[in-house]
Formats: sequence, C-alpha cells, structure tokens
Amino acid sequence: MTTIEKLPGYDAAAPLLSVDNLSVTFGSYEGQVAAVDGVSFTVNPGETLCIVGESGSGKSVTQMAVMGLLTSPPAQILGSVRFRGIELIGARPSTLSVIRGTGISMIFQDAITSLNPALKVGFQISEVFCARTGADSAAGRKHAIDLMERVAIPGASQRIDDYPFQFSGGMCQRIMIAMALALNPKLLIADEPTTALDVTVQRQVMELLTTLSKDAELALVLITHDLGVAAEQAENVMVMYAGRAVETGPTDPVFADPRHPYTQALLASMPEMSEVSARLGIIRGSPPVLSRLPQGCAFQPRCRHAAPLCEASRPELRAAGAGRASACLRMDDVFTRIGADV
Amino acid sequence: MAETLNTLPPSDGDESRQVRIGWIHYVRAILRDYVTLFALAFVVALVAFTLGADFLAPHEPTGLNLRDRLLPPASTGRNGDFYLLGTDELGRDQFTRLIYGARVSVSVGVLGALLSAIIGVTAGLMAGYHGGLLEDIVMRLVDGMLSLPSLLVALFVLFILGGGFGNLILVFLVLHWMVFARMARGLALNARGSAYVQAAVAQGCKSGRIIWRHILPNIMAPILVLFTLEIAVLILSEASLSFLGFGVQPPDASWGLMIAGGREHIRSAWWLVAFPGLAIFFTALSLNLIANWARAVTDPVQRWRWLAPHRISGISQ
Amino acid sequence: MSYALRRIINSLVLLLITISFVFFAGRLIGDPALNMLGPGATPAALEKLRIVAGLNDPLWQQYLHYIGGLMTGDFGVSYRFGFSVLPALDLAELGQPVIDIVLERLPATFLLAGAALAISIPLGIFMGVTAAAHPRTFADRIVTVLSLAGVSVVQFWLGLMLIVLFAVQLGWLPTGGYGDIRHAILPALTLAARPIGRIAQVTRSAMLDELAKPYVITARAKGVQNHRVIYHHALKNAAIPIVTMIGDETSALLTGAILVEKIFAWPGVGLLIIDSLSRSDLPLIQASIAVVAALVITVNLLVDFSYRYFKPEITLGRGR
Repeated sequence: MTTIEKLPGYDAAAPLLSVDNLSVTFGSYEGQVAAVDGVSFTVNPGETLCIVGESGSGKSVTQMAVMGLLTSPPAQILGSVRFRGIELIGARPSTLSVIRGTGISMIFQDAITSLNPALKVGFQISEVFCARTGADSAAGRKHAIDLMERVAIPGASQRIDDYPFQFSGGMCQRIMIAMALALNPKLLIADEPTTALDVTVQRQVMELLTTLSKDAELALVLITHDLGVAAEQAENVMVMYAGRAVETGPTDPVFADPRHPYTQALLASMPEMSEVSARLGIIRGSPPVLSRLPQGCAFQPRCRHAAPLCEASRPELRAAGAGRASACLRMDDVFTRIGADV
Repeated sequence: MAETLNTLPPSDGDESRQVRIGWIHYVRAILRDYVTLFALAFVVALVAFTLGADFLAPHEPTGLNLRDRLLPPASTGRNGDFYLLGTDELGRDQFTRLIYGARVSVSVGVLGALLSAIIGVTAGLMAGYHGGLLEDIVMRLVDGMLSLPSLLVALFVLFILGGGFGNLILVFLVLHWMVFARMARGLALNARGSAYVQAAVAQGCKSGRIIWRHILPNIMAPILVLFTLEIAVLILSEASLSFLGFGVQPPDASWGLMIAGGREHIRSAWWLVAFPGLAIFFTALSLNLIANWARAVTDPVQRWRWLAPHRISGISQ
Repeated sequence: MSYALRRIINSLVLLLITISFVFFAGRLIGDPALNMLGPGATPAALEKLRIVAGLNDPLWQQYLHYIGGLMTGDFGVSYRFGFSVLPALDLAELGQPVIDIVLERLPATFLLAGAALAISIPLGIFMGVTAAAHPRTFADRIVTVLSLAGVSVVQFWLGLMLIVLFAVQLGWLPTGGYGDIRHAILPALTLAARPIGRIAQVTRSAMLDELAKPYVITARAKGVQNHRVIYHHALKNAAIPIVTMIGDETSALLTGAILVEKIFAWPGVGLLIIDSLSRSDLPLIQASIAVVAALVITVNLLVDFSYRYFKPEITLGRGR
C-alpha cells in the first residue's frame, strides 16, 4: 500500500496544506459563476484555521475542492492545492484516495445524513482502516471500538453493531469524527460540524475537537459562521465573502481590530462580541447572487463605508499589519480612524 | 452541504431574481433534444395516419391482389403498384394494413388507458383525500389486484368472455385502474397537507370542489406521464393477447394479429412479422421517451438541468 | 399479530379469492360435462358423467368439495384423457391428476425464468449503475435508450425475430423445443430483454438519488475507493426499489413465459396454459392458474420480507 511519503512531490519541509490562488467555477442559467475566486491560505501542523462567512460565501466549496470532491466538469477548478508538496488539483484518483483518510479527513455539517444508513457504524469507522492496512475484521472491530472510546461514545463495544439511526445527532457527529480519525490524518477539515446540533451538544463536540487536535498534533480547518467558535478555537482566521477571502490573519488581532467592513459587520452582529460597535448588528441587504456580483468590491452595496472608488475595481488582499491582510480599498482611511477608537 | 451546491444554479432565496420558466424554455429544450423530438414526430405522424387513414393510405386495406402475393418491401407489382413494405399472402399492401392496424391498436391503448385513468384517479383521489374506511377498501383492492399476474388473469377473463375490441378494453380497465389509483392516492395524500388545500378548506370549499378544482389540476403532470406510459403498456398487451387469439378478432386487424398472421410465412416472408413488430416498438418507444422527458421537465428538482441553456449539475462524484 | 404473519395471511386470502374467482367464472362458459365429452356426446353419457363428477350437486357444494380437495392436494383430473369414450365409473382411474401435469411442466418454466433472471439482474444493475455514475454522458444515453428499447419491444415479436436471424438465416441455434442448453439460449434472451430494461431504469434512478446524498461524499472523503462507494455504500441503499422491480419482473417472467414458450415450443407451464385454454380443459386451467398465482404471490411476499435486510430501521424500530 502506497503511503503519502512515497507519492511524487512529497516534501517533508513543505507546509502541511498550502492553497494557492484556488478558483472554482460552475456553469449556470446565466453563464459561468465563480463560487470560489482566487483563494490562498496555508495550514501548518497542529494549527487551527477558521474560515468564516455567510452561506454561499464559498467556504464549503473551497474545502470540497481541497479534498478533490468536486467533479470536473461541471466544476472548473484552477489554482493549486498542495499537501506536503503533493499537488492535489488534477491528481489521479489513486493519489487522492491515499491522501484522503491518511493525510486529510473531512467531517460534515449534518452527521445523521452523512453516515450511511444501511451500514453498521463499526463497519463504517473501520472500513478504510481495514482496506488500507489489510487488517482483518477482528482487528478492524477492535480499532473501531478504540476510536469510539476516544471520541467518548458510551458503551462503545455494545454499540458498534448499531446503525446510525439508533444514535442522536451529537453521537453521529462523534461517530463521524471517529471515522475521520481512523487512519490518523494530519489535517481534519470540519465543515460546520456543530451547526445542526443542540447548543449544549455543540459545546461538547467543539471541546472534543479541541482535545483531539491538541493530543494528536492534528491540524484543523474549521468552517463556521459562528464567530464565537472561531475566536475560541483558532490561531488564524480567514473571512470569506462572495467567493473571495476578504480578511486574513491571526484570530485575536483580527477580531479585536478588524480591517474590513464585512468582518466588522459580522462582529457587530454577534451579541456577545459587539464591543466593536455599540450599535445593533444587522448587515444591510442580502448576500450577493454570485452570477450577478456588483461592480467593484462585492460588499460595496452593503458597506457603510462605501465610496465611489469602491465601484471602480475589485480589491485584492493587501498587507494590513503583522501577518494580516485585508481586501478593502478604503482600509487606510477608514480603519486607522476606527482602530484608534478601540 | 451537497444540497446547497445542487440548488446553487437556480439562485434560491431572492424571489425576484429567479429565472421564470415559460413555454419557450420547453420548446427550446425539446428542439435541442433530438431523441425526444424524433419521438414526438413519430407520435404526431402516427396520430395523423390513424385519423386520416382513408386519405393517406396508398392502397385499399382489403384490396386483394393474388398476383402480387408475398412481395418483399420496396417492390413493384405486376400492374405497376408500388409496395413500400411489401405485400401479404393475399397480395394486400402491408403499409396500408399497418395504417389500418394502427387504428385498432392505438385506440385500444388510448381508450383503455383513458378509462383506467378516469376510474383509477377518481378512486385514488377519493381514497387519499377522505381516508378512513374508503381508503382501506380501495387500497386493499389495489394492492391485491396489483399482486396478481395480470396477463394470466386477462387471458382467463377473455377466455370466459370471448375476445373482441370491447371485451379487451373492459379487461384493461379492470386490470389497470389500480396503477392510476395508487398514484393518485399518494398525490392526494401529499396535497391534503399542503398550504393551498388548507387555504381552500379555510375558505369553506366543499370536499368535492377541493378534489376536482384544487387538487386535480395540481397533480395533472405526473398523471399525464403515467397515462402516456400506460398507453404503451396496453398497446404491448393488446399485441400479446391478440397474438394468442384472445384479443382483437378478425376481420379487425391489429398489429398483434398481423404478427400472428405473418408467423406462418416467417421463413419466406420475414417482413410480414418484422414491420408490425417495429410499428409497435417505435410507438411504445416514442411514448416512453416522451413520458421520460415530460417527467424530467415537470419535476421541480430536476427540470433546470433540462431547461438550462448550458450543461450544469452539482456534485455528483 | 406480527407483520410477517399478517402478510402471509393476506397472501393466502388473496390466493383463495383468485382460485374461487377462477372456479366460478369457469362455470360461465357452459356445461362442464359437454366441454369434457365434446359436442358428439350422447345424452346418456353426459348424464353419467354428471353423476360421477358430482356436477348435479348445487354449485356451493361443488365449490366446497373443490376447495376441500385443494387442501389435500387434489386439484381434480384433466379432461384430456379418457373421456373421449364413455366414462368409466371412477374418474380418478381415467383422468390424470392435473396437479401432476402442472408440476411436471414447472421445472421447464423455472429453468427459463431462472436463466432470464440470471442474465437480466446483473446486466440490468450494471447498466443502471454505470449510467448513474456518469450522468449525462454518452454511456448514460446508451443505457437510457437501450433500457427503453427493452421495455418497448414486444416480447414474442423479439423471439420471432431472433428465430428468423439465428435459427432460420444463420442456422446457429434450434428454432424451438426442449433439450440441451442451445435450446434455452434464444427463449432466455427473449424473456430477459424487458427485465434488463426495467431493472436498468430503476437502478439508474435509485442510484442517482443515492449518489447525491451526503453519506456518499463522506465515504469519498474518508478515502473509500470509487467502485466501493458505488457498489457497496450506495447500491445497498438503492436496493429497495431495485429488489421491488426484480420481484415484479420475476412475476412478469412467470406469465411472460406464456408467449415465449409458445413461440419456442418450450414445454413449460405457459405452453400448458395455452393448450388447456384452447381445449377448454377447465380443471387444468384452474390448477395452472392457481399454481402460477401462488408463485407470483410468494415472490411478492419474499420481496416484502427482503426489505428488512436492506433497511435496518424496519426491523429494529426507530430510536432507542
């Protein structure tokens, strides 16, 4: 069985995951639509990156593209995604299936429908383990029980032969996490892992993810629209809007002193985080339709600070302090002033 | 996750920005789809020949001409007559006979399906809307009759009653209404819980009015699709029953009977069997293709794939 | 009462209704004694037969007698043998029990239907899965058109055309009859065309639904190989409509065999039914319809029970 180290392009010194200028477009009624437009980011071992944005901002599609889960056509994928130097865009299915599971794993929002309803959970957890390592079913079973215990499912050894419908939503999410960890991946992508769960269960699942990432040197890419989660979990954050990254940087400074009006508006819309602005927090207007993006900056029609120059050109990310970048054309005149207020 | 991507293209959410689908989209879609276009053209031609047989047929259907017996397709008879599809053992033009045979085969299919649809939809809608004992009885009958071997029952009943056009339609009605009843009942059950029915109830509409004026128009599309498919099924069944001698009786000629008649000459005159069979095949195939297409374009989840100008789809792999 | 028991009782009631219907409807075609002996029979012979066969009893008594006989496996005796001359006193000595005749023909029909299923189930599923895994490609189109063609073709006509081509023109295979495997090829292919089409259609649409579900993405994301995702993960979830269709088509094969057996002179139950109908051999008609109906109802029952294997919720109940 091929391991990651033997794949062509492997470089132990390269970043764990580096995404460079990734674009994903789909055909639609109204021609080509860019769901993701020139996104770049890097994840290092053990690090947590949060990707924040409204639905339709392209955060999930970005991660689907990273995992090679989009079919092309219809999706057109440009740019580069490298795992330890191994190029994943356009990689052969055999390469992808080695990377998936052993290199990168992914868990999804709706755990109940994301598990196969017709297969026993134990089998689903150990399936890839057995296929890759050639372990027999007894070893697979033991591995599944270990993993279920690791994600704190009570009575693991009895429940291994149950079907997903016999578990609650939170337990299903734990099963999915166990499944994702079966081959000891280096990176876990979690696509809104707690959105479909009750508030108390959300917290437990997040704590579990935190513990696991600390214990196993597991890097996390956490997709969320919950800024509270992002603030607690992540070293780095990337804010996406209409398929583009609009602000990136270390979490604490970005949240304390946002350099993009959209980040600012998002923070203001969170009750417990609205120190930034004393005023209420709703963002005017509705998220943009990707096929009919406004002229210039995509956020401009909803932006409090919009000026004529914002309609002229689409802003690129520019450096905005230590390790930070923002895609606001008026960054300098708007945010130096606001930054001074805070 | 996958759902959001699958519904991405028709830009959900903002009503005013949604693309409205008008008849022009259907016309464009069908013009792009050559297979369905062919099927539609075939059915239109078939209907034209069936209705206008007396004007369009090149020869007399009963015009015996023993000198031109068993001529192969595309041959010219002794007196200069051209026989596109050849002649039978009595020298009758096969193309003409096919046209007249279509009258019988198609009308058995259409009438049988129509009567089954009327009875079945009525029973199904009543059962689905009213529920209770009525529903129990209807559905028990439907389930029971659907699990019987229908060709065998048809054979037996026709054996008892004797064949012929009327009895054939009667048997089809008795053995096929359940298909419509089952579908209509399911659709009525769904509709009963829907907002438009609740609104009609709230306005004080009587149940009969709700069933016929509110629910029926809303479930017409799937019923028409089923109706199209059932015509094909019945044309095939008619052929089988007539072939065995239990369906249409001579001197009426259906396509199935023509195959039965041609069977004696199969070693020397293959065209007597081949063309009636091909006629049935293309008729059934066309109806199936049209039903397939209609089902796809009237399905709100699927239709944008067909109506959109470009090839689009969500994540499939 | 358990679900299984209730379903079995329902099926038995349905079978009883069918048998009763055939019994009473069969009396509508006229005097059974006249049917047996033919129009040339003398009044004395007819009367003698009526007495021996109990045909002078009230109809309900005859019915109870008939049903009682069924319980012990007595389906009556065939008219075919013995009655052309004056009947002897004991019917059973002259007529061959119809159930024996039917059972003797059953293996041939099973062989034919089994061969057709052995061709159509794997081929239909493979075609449907391939089409669903590559939607809107050339392969998908081909499968769609082929499966519609299989559904649209008249079975017996296809059989005749195959005979013309392979038996008459090319001379590779026999035109009909029962013997070695070469006799079975054409009838089995003829019978398989429709189920291939139906199974491919239903597999394609069920698999399209399943492959769009989130668990498929999960399976791919955890590194399961493509063919396993399709054939193991998705196909098991798509099984219920497919198995239902296989069940329907198995029933259809048992009756569709009537025409195919006639075309190929294949000595199965189908050919027996046609022969007995043309001879008005009522006991034989009744027995063969009863046997075929019983088989079809059993197939439906088995399909119903198989759902439990494919959908664990049904057996285990929801939630804990």
